[in-house]
Amino acid sequence: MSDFTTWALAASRYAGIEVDNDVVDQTELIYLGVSRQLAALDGIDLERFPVRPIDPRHEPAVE
Amino acid sequence: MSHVQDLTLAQQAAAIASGDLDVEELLTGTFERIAQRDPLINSTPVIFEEQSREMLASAPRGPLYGVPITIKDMFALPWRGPRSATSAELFPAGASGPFRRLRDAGAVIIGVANQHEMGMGTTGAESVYGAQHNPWNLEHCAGGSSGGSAAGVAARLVAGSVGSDSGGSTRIPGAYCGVVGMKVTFGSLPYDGYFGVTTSLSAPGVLARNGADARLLAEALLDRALPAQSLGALRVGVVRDPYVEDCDPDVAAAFERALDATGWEIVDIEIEHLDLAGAAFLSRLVSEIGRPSTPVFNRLSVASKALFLAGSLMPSTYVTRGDRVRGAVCSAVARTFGEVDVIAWPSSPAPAPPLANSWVCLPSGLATADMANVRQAGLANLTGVPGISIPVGLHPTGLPIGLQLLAPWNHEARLLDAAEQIERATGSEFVTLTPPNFG
Repeated sequence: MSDFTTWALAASRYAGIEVDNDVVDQTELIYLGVSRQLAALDGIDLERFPVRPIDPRHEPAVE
Repeated sequence: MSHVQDLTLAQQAAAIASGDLDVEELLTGTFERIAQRDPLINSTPVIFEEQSREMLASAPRGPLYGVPITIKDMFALPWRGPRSATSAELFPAGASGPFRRLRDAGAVIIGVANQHEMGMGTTGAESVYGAQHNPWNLEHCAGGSSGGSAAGVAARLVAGSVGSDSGGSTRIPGAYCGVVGMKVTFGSLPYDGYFGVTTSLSAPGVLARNGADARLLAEALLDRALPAQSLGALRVGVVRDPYVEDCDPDVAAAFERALDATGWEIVDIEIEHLDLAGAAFLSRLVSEIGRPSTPVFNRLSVASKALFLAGSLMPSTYVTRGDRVRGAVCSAVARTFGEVDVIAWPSSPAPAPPLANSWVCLPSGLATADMANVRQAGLANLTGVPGISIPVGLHPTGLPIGLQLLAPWNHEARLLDAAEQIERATGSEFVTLTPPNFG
């Protein structure tokens, strides 16, 4: 059993849900794909991206 | 005489108001049309014969008096809770905010529009009711997640439908099925009883045959007038890489032709931090997925279960970093709207893929339709701005192509004005086409 499978099965047990191998296999594909995209956020300069209020109902104040 | 559902939404409303169309006749004709055509596309799996007649009997003489519409399975109705195409109600029944707006405008809700399960896909292939089929080619998907809304409007079962959009879910099926799909500004109407209430990305929206119909339905949802205005020459900003350049060449060509036909000033623009917008969008999307109860979860498709599980495994640090980027992107988009009136690129980078194989071929390579579609659509959800998809062509495969416009927050009227201007510039060719077997 791969590390990912062990992890995914443990997480699903913790959440009280049961998943089969097909679900775990597809979860791994999705997880890898999304992780690859999210990795772009690892390298951001936090000084350049300060915490700002976000309210998607309205136009933000233009800086 | 043509069928009553061959009339547009605006024509139906006007004919009722003038006394030329009987509301009972329209309702009965609509049910007959659904019975005749829906077995092919599976757009409207739940019909409300009894409740719709009760709605009609007490309907106020509003702008949509007596007009039949469908509503996505994400909104609570007084007689049914939303199921989001799963096996059970996820919220209790009740008069949701969007329902109240439609009811008060006099609309008659005649059935539930099918959708992608839990709203978690852009194909409409997964649903407890079965997949939605594209009226233009039944082997192809109708899009998602509001696939039933788009397919039903395209096949002229109804002239309007209310959908919702967390990552393109009105605009993508609109593009796939050759109808107008519009997402309103985030939070611009009451969200109580709406399945998307817990997210910061999702907004209701409308699907209709043309801009005028979308305007009428959006006015009811937003409970405010969106008066048509002559815009003159718009200044349109286009971000070419990757939103135009990484599209199917025929999609990109149809997009360019439609914009050229308007005579608008087209300027190539860059939006600061846009390269990070997709990651910021995804960080929110996966973190905001709310798992349903265990009995409902156990009956979901493999794909939906996997999405939930993958989302639960994502480190939350990405949300805090993603939100920093989100704030910066919102500011950058606001600055961009100081320079251009609308932002434009193709709604979807490729036409609707087959239901059996939802990969699309782009210049950059093969991609899942979902990933390709949310790339084009996600900016509107990340920032909250309204967006619209307008049919602007047919691909050599015979499938429709959509052009997307984004406008500043709460400027839905500008989007609709622009959509109607594109319709006029293209001779209304693509908003009057009907799918081959549904003319």
